Parts: sequence; structure tokens; C-alpha cells
Amino acid sequence: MGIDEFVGAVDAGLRQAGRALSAMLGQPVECRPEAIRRVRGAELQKAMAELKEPVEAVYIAVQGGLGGAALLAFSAESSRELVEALTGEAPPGELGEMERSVLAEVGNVTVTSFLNVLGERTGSVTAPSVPEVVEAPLATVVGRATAALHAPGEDGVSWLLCQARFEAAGRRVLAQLAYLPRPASVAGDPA
Amino acid sequence: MSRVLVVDDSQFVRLRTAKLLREHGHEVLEASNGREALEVYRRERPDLVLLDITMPEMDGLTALREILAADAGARVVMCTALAQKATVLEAIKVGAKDFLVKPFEPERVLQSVERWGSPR
Repeated sequence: MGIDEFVGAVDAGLRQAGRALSAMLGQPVECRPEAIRRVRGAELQKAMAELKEPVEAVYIAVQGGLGGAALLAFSAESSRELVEALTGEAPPGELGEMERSVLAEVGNVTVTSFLNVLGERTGSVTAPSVPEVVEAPLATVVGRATAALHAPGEDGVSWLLCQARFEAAGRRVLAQLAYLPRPASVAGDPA
Repeated sequence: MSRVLVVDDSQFVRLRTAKLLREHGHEVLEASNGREALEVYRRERPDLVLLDITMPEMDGLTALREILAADAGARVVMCTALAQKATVLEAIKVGAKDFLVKPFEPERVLQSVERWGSPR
């Protein structure tokens, strides 16, 4: 599968995620891609630098033919705004188990919607892991996802990086969705 | 009214699902993984289990087998975040009654509970 097809699946997957979140929550939720680009592993952290540290990230490992690693990352302030928009309740100072499970579910729905689109277009079967919410410096989050797929120092194929815009309850929250396909998943990586 | 065991590692999903079912008159039990689900099932013998597939400690497919080993008449509806055809087909083959694709549409959840959760 070519990298451009992955890009198309991210776009369609995010829109599908908005519809799925709306159905689940019983309120309109929009999820839109603002910009999608390919970024080399070494450049990912710089490309995501607009997120204020530390970040709240949902990490999901994906097994299967087009597997890889997925991250949905928010600045701490954005994650609280999104939780409040989706639940109607302002989170406490630190995110508790409930607030973290809201973020995990948003990550789960977003990533699995993308995987659904990939599956529909390619017939591939993928299996996402249990989503894990990590609050850490961006470098730690990115390093962990990369290390799961590549040997140290190996740049690997490009990450797909998408700025995603969530809108709910009159709020607009930006996040970064990053997907690192396992090298064997991608045919020709021109980035 | 049915007694429904909701099994999901996401507290948020359990909360949303339990709220929906209680609003429609059902009694709800909760478990956050397959191992806990098995314990609650053995103790409470609910009318229906809504069982997530992807969970830590013990996944849904393993939990399904264990629950059916404990009670061959158990009624279990699998919940999957993806349309994982192979896994869903295996679950149905093992003995699940139905499956729900997450995120849940409330009407679909209620329909499945109405269909499979009649009191025993």
C-alpha cells in the first residue's frame, strides 16, 4: 500500500470518527483533518512542537498487515477542554481515571475509525491494542512509539502527521494524530 | 427488566452504557476486564453480558470461553471497537449471541438487550 493511500485513510477516518463520537455521545461532535503531512521520524518532535509540554497522548499499538503505532496527542490544556466539551463537566486539576478514560475512548474511536477505512479499502485485518493514556514530555511519548517498531537509530518510514480539529459543545480543540506504519506495511516511501 | 453485566476496561464506556440501561429500567453490574467479569458472572448469574473484546488481563474472547464453561446457557453479546470480522465470527462460533460495534448507538444496545436479556 502506498503512503498516499494511508493519507487518504486518515482523512476519511477522522470524519468517520466525528460521526461515531456524535452517535455515542448523543451530541454533535465534528472531527476534521486540518493538514496531513509526512514527517521523518527524526523530525516528528519538531513538527509537533506547537503542543505545549507535557502532552497528554493516547498510544495504541496496531497489529496486523497494515499495523504500526498510533498517537493522538493533546496539550494538557486542550485535553481538559475536550473532556469538558464531551462530558459537560470541568475536570479537576489533574486528570482522574474517568477523564483519562474519556481521552482513551476518543483516541480509540479516532484510531479505529482510521483502521476501519484502511480495512474497507484494502481488506486488511488489524487489531488495535488497549489504548493507553500517557502524560509525559513529547520526546518520551514519540520515542516509545518509535522504539516499538524500529531499531535504535533507524529512521524508518515516515510518520503520517495530521492536525485534527475536534468541535463539540461550542468548543474547538486541536490535537495531533500521528501514525507510524510498520516498514513492511508501506510500498515506497517518498518522504 | 434485565440484569446486565457490562464489561469494558473504559470507565467512561461503562458509565455511558450503565446510564443508558438504567434509564430504561435495567439493573447493571460492571466489570473492567475479563477476569473480573468471570468472577462477577459466577457470583451474580446475570441475564446478559455485554463483553468488550479488547481488554487487559483477560481479553473478551477468552472471557467468553470461560463464562460459557461456567454456564453453558450464558447469554453474551460481544462488543468490538472495530468491525473485526474474524474475531467476531470466532466469538459467534464459540457461542456469543450477537455483537455490537463500538462506539455504541443507544438504540442498537437497547435492541440487543431486549432480544437477548430476558430474565431467566
